[in-house]
Amino acid sequence: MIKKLLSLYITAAVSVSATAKSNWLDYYSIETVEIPKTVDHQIGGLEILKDGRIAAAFHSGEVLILNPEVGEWTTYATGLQEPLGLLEDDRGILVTQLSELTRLIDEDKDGVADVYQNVSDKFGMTGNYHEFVFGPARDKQGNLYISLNVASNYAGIFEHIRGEFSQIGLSKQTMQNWRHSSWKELRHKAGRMFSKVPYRGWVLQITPDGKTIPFAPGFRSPDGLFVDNKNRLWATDNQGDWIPTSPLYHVEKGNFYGHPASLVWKEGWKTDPIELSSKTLLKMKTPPVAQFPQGELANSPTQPVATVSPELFGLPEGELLIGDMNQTKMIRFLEDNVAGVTQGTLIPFLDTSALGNGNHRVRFDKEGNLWVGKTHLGWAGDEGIRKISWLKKPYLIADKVKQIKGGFTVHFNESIKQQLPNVKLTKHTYHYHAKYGSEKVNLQSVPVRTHWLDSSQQNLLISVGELSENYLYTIEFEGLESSKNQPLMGNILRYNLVKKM
Amino acid sequence: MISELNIVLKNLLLALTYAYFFISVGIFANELKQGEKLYNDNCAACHRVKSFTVGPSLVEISKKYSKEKEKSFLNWTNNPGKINPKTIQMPAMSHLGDPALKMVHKYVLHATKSVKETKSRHGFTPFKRPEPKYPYVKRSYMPFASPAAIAVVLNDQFSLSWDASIKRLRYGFSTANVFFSGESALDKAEKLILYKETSSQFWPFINDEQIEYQGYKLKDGTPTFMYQAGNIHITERIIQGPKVRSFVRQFTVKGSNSGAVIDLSHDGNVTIMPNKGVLERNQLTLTEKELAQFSITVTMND
Ligand code: HEC
Repeated sequence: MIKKLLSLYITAAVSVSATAKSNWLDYYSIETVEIPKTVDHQIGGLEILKDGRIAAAFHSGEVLILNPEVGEWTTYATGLQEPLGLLEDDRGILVTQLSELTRLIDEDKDGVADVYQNVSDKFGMTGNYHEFVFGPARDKQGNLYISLNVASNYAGIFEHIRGEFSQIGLSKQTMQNWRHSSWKELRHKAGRMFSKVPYRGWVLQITPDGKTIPFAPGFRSPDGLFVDNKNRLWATDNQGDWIPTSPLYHVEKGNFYGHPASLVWKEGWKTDPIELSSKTLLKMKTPPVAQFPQGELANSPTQPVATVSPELFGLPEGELLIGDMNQTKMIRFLEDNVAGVTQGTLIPFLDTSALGNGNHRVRFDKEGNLWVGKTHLGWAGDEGIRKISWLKKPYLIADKVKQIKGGFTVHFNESIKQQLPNVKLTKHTYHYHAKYGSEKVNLQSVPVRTHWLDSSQQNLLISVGELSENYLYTIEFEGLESSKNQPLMGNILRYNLVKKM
Repeated sequence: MISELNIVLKNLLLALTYAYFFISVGIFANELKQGEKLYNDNCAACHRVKSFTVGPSLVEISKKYSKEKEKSFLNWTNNPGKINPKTIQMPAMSHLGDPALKMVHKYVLHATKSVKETKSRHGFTPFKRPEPKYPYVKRSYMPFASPAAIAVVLNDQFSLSWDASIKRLRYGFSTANVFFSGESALDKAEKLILYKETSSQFWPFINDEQIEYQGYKLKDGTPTFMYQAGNIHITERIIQGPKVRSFVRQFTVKGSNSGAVIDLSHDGNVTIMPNKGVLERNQLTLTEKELAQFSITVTMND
């Protein structure tokens, strides 16, 4: 007994230090970019311009442009209201701010924007502090997408609002009087997060001819929008009420993505969302493509970006790479398709304290450097801009994770040692409910029946028997090395199993 | 023989004490490890050991929730209240369960042994805005306006609030920070308002809300707002007037095939001087030709 306890304690201590040998800084450098003191160093938006310069939007309301060759910043725009995204187009630079999607146009070509054009303000605002606006992303047809946060019931609304006030639920007057003590007893009736003006909690589409179309509801705090090389729109969301742990979604028109507050703006909708049961909502909800376990992978995932050519950054091209506010790592998403359902695996990347947290906006420049803009806005996070460059040394990663009947195959970018690694599998699911977040539910280990390498030594097949739908599978490798003795970088794979074969 | 037994017993006792010591340290260390992991996964996003970040530091927390106050620690974490109005609401941690929260509490107390707090929120140097160059434009949550308001700051004494929701000027005020933090200090802001438009509608063509807001041009800090009422295109440039507390609105109106009567009703002790048309009881009558381009100067009377 004593021995057992002691040895348990010792193994715990040993296994913690065993992972120390894989060091991301052997493969990537992280450089801090100098920023003038005249702006607040929290980055809301980042864009690589066609001419190679870097545009950044700051918490203090400016857009500045960096000429990276000489390291000089110039002011492009000022006076913006919490800008949270930048995207260049052929007429100027688009910026999302709290009140508007704006195009900043430099008409007289002196390097400074002189027109602040309203591209879309066809959505409501109540003055609630949580009504952020994210995006923009653009698809191949030229449609733009922005996403709107729902408001938080820790505050109410302003005396003057923009947009129609929803007749469902608490009255306008009650919500305007939120500073009175009675709010404490009333606020739960608004729902923890609420959508009292049009399209809060929606992704909106703005067509090339300027129409604003409500595209998909069900979001809570969708900070990251991205259109990939295959013209698919992706969004991340944050753990909270109705969001058990932070998800990644493939967003399609008309689907519902799980947070009910926004449903009031569906045509013909009459029910107060706080009256809806989990069961009803579950039937309507589109499952996430991937999930980030809270505290392990991400607490507030941010913007996805597609990786560039492997010669430039060392990762396979076209993968999604995603930032997070709380964790000092980024996350790769590897896609799998089963019977037409997109799902996939999240794998930690650049998991090092040297990266820091608050990784909010990410873009690749033409040379394949990854620019990362950081923010906190009073929550967890950091400040400033980092430039991350691959040191052109190859390393071992999993580059495909696919479901097979009764198991998984993991493909590696290099051949691995014939001596098989230790594979540990667990699975768990989550509660879908109005409470803030969910613990892991039904967490259990999944015994590995057999695992073997194919003749290329790059494919590891793992057989576990019957798989369960709507479970998150965690596959952990211990001591996995390439034939050249290099450790596996990112040894925990989290496969979100929506559909089985 | 007896003494031998004694020694054996003594040794056994010693061995047992050691063993007990190791076990309890082992268990305790294990709990601490678990507490640390739980803390890292669920609390570290908002709490740090030494510094105030999103929430108070662990040093602060350990002072308030000592070993004896485990119960109140559980009460708070299961159902957090609101103490500091400047922080966000802490989410309830009840899903972790009391045994886990107790381990977090142990870890909090352990991690803060002989640690002092370092003062400075977030550990970031607070941003200090440089001295402004006047005039400038800033979008902001403002009091007595919709959240889509735009501040036109003419100088360190006088500014305007132009509201993009209703596409018109709402009020003029003594430049002060309370106007850039929404409704957080309404009483204070109200006293600093010098001029306020009170007509239910400014342009006679169309309801204010139905006017399409198109944006503004910005040249040397001076805005020219652009908006459209049906087929009528309007620009409105706002510049400093002849006095510190005065301003000029320069309008162009394209596409109207008639004149207009503009309602300039307002609160505040001001003098209004249009450069064209006839002003009577705050109603400005303009012919079709005058309407195309005119300006209004508003000066606060001392
Ligand atoms: C999302 C942010 C967030 C997370 C996560 C969080 N807290 Fe907090 N916590 C806060 C904030 C903000 C306050 C200050 C609240 C106030 O003063 O109104 C706070 C205050 C506290 C206090 C002090 C209460 C008092 O009486 O002053 C304790 C104790 C505490 N948190 C414990 C925890 C523990 C334990 C966890 C994890 C299990 C945790 N918190 C996770 C934000 C957070």
